[in-house]
Amino acid sequence: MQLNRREFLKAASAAGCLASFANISYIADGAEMRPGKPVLVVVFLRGGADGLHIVGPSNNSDYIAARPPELRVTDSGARAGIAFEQRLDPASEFRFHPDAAPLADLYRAERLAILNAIGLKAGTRSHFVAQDMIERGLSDEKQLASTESGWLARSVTTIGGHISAFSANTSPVYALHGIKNVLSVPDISAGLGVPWGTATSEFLRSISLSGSSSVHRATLEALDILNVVDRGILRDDSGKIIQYRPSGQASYDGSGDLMRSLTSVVRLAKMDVGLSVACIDHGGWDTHEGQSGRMSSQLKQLSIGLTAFHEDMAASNHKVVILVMTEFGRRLRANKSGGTDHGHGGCWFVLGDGVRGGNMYGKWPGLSTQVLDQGVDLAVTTDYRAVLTETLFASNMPMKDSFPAWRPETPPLGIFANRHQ
Amino acid sequence: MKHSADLYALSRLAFGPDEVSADEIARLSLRGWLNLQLHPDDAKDAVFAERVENLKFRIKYNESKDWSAVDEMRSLRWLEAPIEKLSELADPDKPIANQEKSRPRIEVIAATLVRAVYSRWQTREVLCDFWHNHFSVNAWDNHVGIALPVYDREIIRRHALGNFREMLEAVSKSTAMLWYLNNRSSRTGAPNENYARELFELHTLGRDAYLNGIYNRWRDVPGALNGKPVGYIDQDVYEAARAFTGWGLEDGSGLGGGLKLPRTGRFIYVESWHDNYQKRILATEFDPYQPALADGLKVLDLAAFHPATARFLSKKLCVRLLSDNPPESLITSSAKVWTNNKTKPDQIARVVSHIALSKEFAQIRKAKVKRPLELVASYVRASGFNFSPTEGLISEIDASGQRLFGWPTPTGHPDAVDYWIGMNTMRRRWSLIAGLSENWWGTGVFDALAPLSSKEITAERFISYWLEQLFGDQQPQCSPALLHAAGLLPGSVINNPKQACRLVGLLAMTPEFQQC
Repeated sequence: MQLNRREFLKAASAAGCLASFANISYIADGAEMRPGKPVLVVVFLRGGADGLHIVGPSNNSDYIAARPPELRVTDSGARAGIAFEQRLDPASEFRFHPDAAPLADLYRAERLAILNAIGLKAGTRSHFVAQDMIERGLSDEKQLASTESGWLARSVTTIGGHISAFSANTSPVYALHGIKNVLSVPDISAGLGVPWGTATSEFLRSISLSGSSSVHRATLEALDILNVVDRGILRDDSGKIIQYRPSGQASYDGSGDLMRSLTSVVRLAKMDVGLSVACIDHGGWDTHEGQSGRMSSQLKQLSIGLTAFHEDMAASNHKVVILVMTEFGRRLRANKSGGTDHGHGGCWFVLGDGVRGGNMYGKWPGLSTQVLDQGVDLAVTTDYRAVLTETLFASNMPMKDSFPAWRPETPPLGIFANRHQ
Repeated sequence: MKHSADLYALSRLAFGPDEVSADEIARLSLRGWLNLQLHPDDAKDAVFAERVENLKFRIKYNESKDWSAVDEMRSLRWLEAPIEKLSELADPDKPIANQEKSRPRIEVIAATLVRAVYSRWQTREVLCDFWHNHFSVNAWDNHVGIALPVYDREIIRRHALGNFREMLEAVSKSTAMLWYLNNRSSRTGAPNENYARELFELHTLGRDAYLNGIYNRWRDVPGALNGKPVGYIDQDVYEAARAFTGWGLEDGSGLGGGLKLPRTGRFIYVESWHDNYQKRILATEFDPYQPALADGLKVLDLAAFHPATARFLSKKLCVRLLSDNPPESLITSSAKVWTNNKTKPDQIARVVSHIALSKEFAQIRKAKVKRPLELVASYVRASGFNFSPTEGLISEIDASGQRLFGWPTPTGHPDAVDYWIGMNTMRRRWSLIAGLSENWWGTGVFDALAPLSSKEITAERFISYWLEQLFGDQQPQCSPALLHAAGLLPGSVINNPKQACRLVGLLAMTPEFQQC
């Protein structure tokens, strides 16, 4: 089935998937920024996270046959997974990995939704090609060379004087490529001052205005943005930065490197600099070897980090939508290194305000050889852009040009209850 | 005054000009200088040898039940060590502090900084940096880090200007790569595909030759039916993974029947781990039951000599030495030199020479930016102060986005201007320059007044001297702005060392000094 945009919207309304979907011209014509909209936080699990080991169909015989117990979510024993309700595949009992217990709690609290068998329809099993395509919003490699902007960059409305976008990296992730004034730093907790203060800023500003190279532009942009953020960081009377204290019950202990990225987002949200989107990377998911232990520690970090961040944002009264994505899932069959190789269909998550959580979305293709992609990998039954589209819409972000080359092939998933205004 | 053509050449074929290299290139011309550089002789690198010999690096850890506390300035002891000796650090039966296990990595980083600043064989160091990123391993994993001195010395530096096919084989058998891309644990039956995939995608044919999005069946790949496929698909990865089963390490693995491999860290081929059956890789048939190693070696031949590899590597070298978008003409001609010399022992040196002496190399300037390591080394070389690397400096380079020998994925650091001018890196560029100028990390005192003999030096003369040191005959027009920013009136006398080094530091923070 191939739907054009208008049919997609009509179908969405008819299905009641997007309850407050009255303003159709919004999506068709692009939208202005509105007050009260959530911060959209995109967490990219780099390396191809093994969705089948995060939420697994524990009692499925193909699943059991393909992997040793330490590489799947089991339904018995001391490390049994955490069962949850889902309607995607009534024949299977899906469970969360035991170290994803905090995510299971969020799922039960209907804050978190699972998207399964999702990803790129294209056949690539290369991390780097897959990431490049997803971050540009493509599924055809031939368009890579001619697409010089990221899907989020095309969707975010930049406003002069605002820091609309944050990338918790040394330079912006590709999803934010193509817009100005993206704050890209791994961490803001130690401040973002410039050495030797105003002498440096003044001198570099005047020198950079006299040139036009990308380095001159980058110098100017960095001076402006770093200064805005540095002034916004809370300091005591002596000028010392006040240590960050999370709101509510949030505790980031055990979330590893995610802590500095996630708390940087909350700090920026609290600063009121106009933050609209944030991108965070979480590496270490390329588990070709020793997956049992690595998955355990990766999932602990991720679950603790996301739970703390969700609580921190809620308790400080900031709306948030968190999208957790990865470039592909991993091979159904384990290798003899105690790991799994690159696969196809993956598992994503959405959590936060307005999410119709406690559901697993998509279409479960099954794990028997005949229905596996190329006979080896979980098939992709939902194009990842279906999720990006719904997430952008729910986050009240313009999406006129977000995915110019794509038309939805399936009805909306209905991940969100309503749209933030 | 120094010619900008020479200075730009030295900013790309060396870690920037210093007195020796600037003089040498002016005397010998680029061709003569490069010819020397492409035939490095370690016996003639006395300055580096003396500095690394005298370098002491802090090591500090608390006592535990198994060891006593250590806090000392220690000489480098692992750089020349054999793998068997280094592997003792990985022995799980011996309690060893983590700081001792990470010491080989830290020593290689320290030596890399000393070489970048002081080695006479600058072009080789530039190529070592290139190959370390091309064959990237993450030495923050201690198993890899322990093997880093051997990887740096025997694999990367030995072959940096040599023959690619030989280098590829050395990498494939190296302790560092066998750990990093897991081939040491790959076994027949369900092999680990990590190495095989990155061998094609990152080390040889390149991602442009990965055609899985287009072709599901090997016969459909153009050229395949003539045994000359233009690219590879997943089936080639699967089969190549089978070919490399049995390529392992003496890492203590069990062999069955209670037997175990020793823990020397040496390469070993284990026949019983190898998948002996017939294979088809890059449209080439592999007969069953080949002699030991033959399957893997044949894959290395197919990959190293593939036309896509010639193009991929030639382009990558042009990107390193010229611009993110090098001219097609130069890529093509370099690939030709690459292929024509594919079995020569100095294949890589010939390609580098072809690129460096091309008209395109002379014409294209300022298209790249220095990465933090290059920024640091070029600033130290231009300012000429007595420099030693320290942990503090290494941390700052790390925080700037260049974690040496520690890029988390096997791609190595991106060689793209955009990555290196992100806000974090821009800010850290300034702090690297400020920190070196004011000796924040104990790297050495920079006395910017020392080279100027006169006591009564005006700000204008001071700035003009340092502009020439940093930029030669192509200087940014920044003298008035600098005076203004520093609150100096025209004609002011510069005699405060702190003010002096800040003025030079500000010049090195300009966009112009970042470019190369």
